[in-house]
Amino acid sequence: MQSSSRPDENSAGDAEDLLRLRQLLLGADYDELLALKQDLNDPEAFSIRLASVITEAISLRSRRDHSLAEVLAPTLESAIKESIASDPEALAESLYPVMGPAIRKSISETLSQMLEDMNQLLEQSLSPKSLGWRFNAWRTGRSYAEIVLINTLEYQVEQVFLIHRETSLLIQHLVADMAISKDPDMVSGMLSAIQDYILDSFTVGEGDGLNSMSLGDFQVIIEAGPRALIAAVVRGKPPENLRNTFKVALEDVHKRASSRLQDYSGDPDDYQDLEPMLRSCLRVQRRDQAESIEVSRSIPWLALVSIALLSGVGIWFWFQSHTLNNARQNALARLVNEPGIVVLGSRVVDDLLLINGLRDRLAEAPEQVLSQPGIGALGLTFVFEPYLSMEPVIVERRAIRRLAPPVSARMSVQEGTLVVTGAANVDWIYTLEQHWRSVAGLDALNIDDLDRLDPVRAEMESLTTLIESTTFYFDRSAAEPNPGAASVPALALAIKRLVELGETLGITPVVRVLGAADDTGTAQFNARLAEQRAENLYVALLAQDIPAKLLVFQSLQDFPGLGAESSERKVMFRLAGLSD
Amino acid sequence: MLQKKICLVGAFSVGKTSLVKRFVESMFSDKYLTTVGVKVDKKVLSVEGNEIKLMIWDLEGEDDYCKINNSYLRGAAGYILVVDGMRPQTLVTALAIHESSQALLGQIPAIVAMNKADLRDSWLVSEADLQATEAILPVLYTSAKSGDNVEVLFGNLALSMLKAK
Repeated sequence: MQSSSRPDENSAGDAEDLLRLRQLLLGADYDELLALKQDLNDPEAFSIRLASVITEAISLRSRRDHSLAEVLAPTLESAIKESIASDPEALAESLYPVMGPAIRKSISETLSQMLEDMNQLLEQSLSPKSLGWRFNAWRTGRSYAEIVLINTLEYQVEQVFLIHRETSLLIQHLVADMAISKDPDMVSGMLSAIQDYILDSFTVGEGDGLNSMSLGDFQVIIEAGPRALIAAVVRGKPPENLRNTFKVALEDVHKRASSRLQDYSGDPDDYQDLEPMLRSCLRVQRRDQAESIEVSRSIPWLALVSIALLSGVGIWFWFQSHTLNNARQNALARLVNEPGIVVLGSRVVDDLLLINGLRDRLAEAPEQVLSQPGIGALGLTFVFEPYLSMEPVIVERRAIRRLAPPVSARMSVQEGTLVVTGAANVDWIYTLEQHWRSVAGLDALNIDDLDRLDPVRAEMESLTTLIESTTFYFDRSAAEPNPGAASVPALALAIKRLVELGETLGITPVVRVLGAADDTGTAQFNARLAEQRAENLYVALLAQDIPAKLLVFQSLQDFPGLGAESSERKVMFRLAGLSD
Repeated sequence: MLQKKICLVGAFSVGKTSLVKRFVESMFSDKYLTTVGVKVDKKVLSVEGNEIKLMIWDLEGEDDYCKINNSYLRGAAGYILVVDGMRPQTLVTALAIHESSQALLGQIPAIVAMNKADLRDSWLVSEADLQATEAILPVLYTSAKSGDNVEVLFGNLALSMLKAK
């Protein structure tokens, strides 16, 4: 027990000694150092200290090198990912002001690029220069595209091969648009073989090799690295610095894939990531690039004019079809509104508008409904099946056709009820009552306001109407009726029939012959002329065997109620004594 | 798709080029063989469900005056030693090439093609030599003329290369 407590006591004594020694050596600084140590050990206190310098520290370090960016990049990436995952709104909102302009800019750039391309295309296909090229193409038997390429290209890298040096196997191969490439695997093999052949056949220094071949328009530029080589097929005259592009690309390839290339398994899929580096090698330089830049800066007139023309033609066609469509729609609407016609559908067949539907045979013909100038140009064709319409207008037409009402009666259809007003003789009313049900679309008959006439009365009424509407006209100052006047015998016949019918009812009608003259001349002369005219017709009627007791002649001026008509040169008739 | 370089080697006029012609569609003319000493052809094979693209290097024949160009052999994943059964010397040459190739490329798949099998009756290679060869290398009896075993030859080499991987 004692022995175990001894060391504790000893060490406590040592610590105290040590403390005293330190205080002796360091004096007041010792307490400060202790406080500092405390701060470093206490996370909270340490954070407070660090907070006051962290900004300056970051700023200083980022001035010195880029390590901060490298170190922070993954953290920032995951922070952004986290932020999007937890609440996409927040990031979207803060990006919103940037995205709009960026998208607009991208769209406007794409559009202007399109416009420029189109302009260039038009210029190339319409300019005298291009016609010359076409002629050349025809003359030499080469394709037009090839001639254009030769004439406009300074140079173009058409193919890029990335070849594994050890095995001569192709790792990646890129071809420019419109360039033609034969089997790149075999080409890369033979290319390597030929390189080896050159190396073996001629005494060359270590590291030297075939670095370019040329044939006609083509050059093959070869850039060799320790593990892989780039071979580029170039058309035209490449500048010296093009090789640098390949050098840089090859260095990038080695930087990225050196270890993979050392032990190549033969699977090119493992090297897809190298493609972007090689793509930078597919360069094109046009001969008149300076010129074409100028052209693109100026307004692309050709393209603009063509677009304007095209849109003009487009608008014209649109307008044509639009007006045609409108006219057709109007015609359809009118047909739809026409009673007795039901439009079931319409479709366009070979530029014609085929309208099909149902039509009551009492409805107007569709051609009639649409009768208007230019309707023929609408190209309308009708296919209508017959049906029975229940629309009031059509039912009314049907009733009139079926029941043939007399002039004195009027028919209308109101909500399925046939309403007949006016007057009609009893025989017809009997027929009406018998047959109205056979008219499709009628549910009821209403003849409350229809006056019943017996046949004799009805005939007398129509004879009265006939007689009273008969008028004889005279030339100026003439007492005899002019030759085109009404017929006296016909009038006499009507009067005789009226008298005959009157006898059956015990009625004796009296016919007043009323003469009139115009206002020219003296009133006295006119009065006598009017009377003379009436008398002449009175005599003429007498000559037709009309008993004198039935006739009275007088001047119209003396007849009440007809004063307005008294200034015309004529003779008219009024009946009296017809009522019982 | 996996691609492998293979070489056809052997003495002069043992039928290497004829064998390759039997097997591939070619794009380059045979003139390359005599000028450059090599011609490259291509054939895609399906071996046990694996597509493999063979880049076949047909090397100029070796004789006393002209040795195989080692730089053409470099990078090969396998090779075929072609022997003319009617000329025993060609077997000797083939085995010599095998030895030097092994020194250059290490232990990689190789097959001996005893060619002109259609003329087997007039072969001069002794049965003992054949057995000795079969003891150290796989041997196939091929005929570029009739096409016998040509597909098998390339197929077997492709298979051993796949296994060697």
